[in-house]
Amino acid sequence: MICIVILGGNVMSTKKSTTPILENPLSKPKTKRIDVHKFEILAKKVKGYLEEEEKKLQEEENEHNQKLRFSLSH
Amino acid sequence: MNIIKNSDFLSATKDRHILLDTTVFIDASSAPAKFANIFNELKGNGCVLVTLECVLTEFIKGGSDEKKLAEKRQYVEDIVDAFLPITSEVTQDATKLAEIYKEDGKKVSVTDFFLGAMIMRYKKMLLMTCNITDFPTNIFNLETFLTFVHRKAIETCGFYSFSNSNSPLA
Repeated sequence: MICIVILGGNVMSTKKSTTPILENPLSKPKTKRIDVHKFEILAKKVKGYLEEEEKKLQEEENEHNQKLRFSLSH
Repeated sequence: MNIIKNSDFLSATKDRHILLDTTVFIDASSAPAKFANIFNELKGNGCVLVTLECVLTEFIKGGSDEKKLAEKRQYVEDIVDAFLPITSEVTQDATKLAEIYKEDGKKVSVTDFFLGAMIMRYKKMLLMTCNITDFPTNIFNLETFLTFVHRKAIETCGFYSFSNSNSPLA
């Protein structure tokens, strides 16, 4: 019998950050200018995620309040 | 939305380290081109844009999958030049700051105390925040500000330093 094992990994989470962590908070790392066009595209996606999370949070809160009202009235 | 800079904006921020609060990342996603131009203007003015690792945590939390979390992280990394760690000294300063706030500190988040503690310790650093209610001017100096003019509202983003008269570190 042949056993095949496939090892998987998540590419996203292993992507190394290029942003330094400063040991001395007042040292001056190289500053990088923002590419406005690329930034706009990513920001638009992020705004959508934030709105989605807010909506979900609001729905959960409403559901919780509804349950609370129901339990108080019975 | 239009962004109006206060007349002393460039002189007040020149060559300073600008510490960004979570609210700045949230607001920047609503008007990215305008904010990107402001960030680039600050970088061209000798500023270094930094944030705390815990601000990154606060911003990315709630992302529903790996892709969204990674993109939220990338968005923050596109803006800042570096992250600052929370050292044990900063944690102790945050507690001292909570003592200075007294009853005003009840609803202030721990992250905001860490941000305040950073500018308390590092005088060359300015805190950029759109959450102006949690950084009262009896404790912090408002050095300059931006005004966001919406169709039906006006908002402010402040640049704060710590007022020396309150410093427990002096």
